[in-house]
Amino acid sequence: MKRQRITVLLVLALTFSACATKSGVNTSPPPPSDPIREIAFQSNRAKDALQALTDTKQALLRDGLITQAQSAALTNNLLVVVRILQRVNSAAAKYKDVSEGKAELLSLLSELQPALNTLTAIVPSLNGPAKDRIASILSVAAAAVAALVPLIKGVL
Amino acid sequence: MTLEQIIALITAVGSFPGIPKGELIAALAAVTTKFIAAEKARSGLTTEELFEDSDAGLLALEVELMADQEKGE
Repeated sequence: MKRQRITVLLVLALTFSACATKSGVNTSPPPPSDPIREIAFQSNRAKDALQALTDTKQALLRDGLITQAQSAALTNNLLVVVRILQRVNSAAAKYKDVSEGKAELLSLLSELQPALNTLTAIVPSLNGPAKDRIASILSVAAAAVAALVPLIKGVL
Repeated sequence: MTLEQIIALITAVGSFPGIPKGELIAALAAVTTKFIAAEKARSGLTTEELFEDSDAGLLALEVELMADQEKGE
């Protein structure tokens, strides 16, 4: 049993190591020389996480692992986050330099973070497996949004 | 070791007798594959293409969520 656990842990470690560096795939954001590209990159990553969250929500409801009311709460809050992220994306796409759109982007960021927090606040009400799955995907979206903060504030 | 080899290893380990196979390892392999594919695709896009891809994806997602909302889901 101990050997099995060690094997599984080894595989997990190798996998995450590979995701980070060994595969030759760039899993890190682009170099910080172009903040607009980094914003585009993180925004795209957040979009993928929100899509995965939506797919998971639908699967959990189908499998009876969340209630319709829980699903509806996730939907309503996801929609708010998606709409703000659309505005962030459109705003950032207009500028060649972050400093040009700093005020607008900071304002949108101040809406995006609380919306994401409201979405996150639903997670504790979910049951075990559903909670774990939603929380892990949500953490990817939250990390992408968190990465936007220094990119936008960094030009102050 | 390449990523493909590691995924093959995970899949192989999942098939060993006595190893807690099945969902955890299979899900890990699937998620890893998807994650790497998405990151690889993203890295190959220009800034403009990234914004366009996000725009299109977010619009489609909004429509999908509005449909869920109408169903009360």
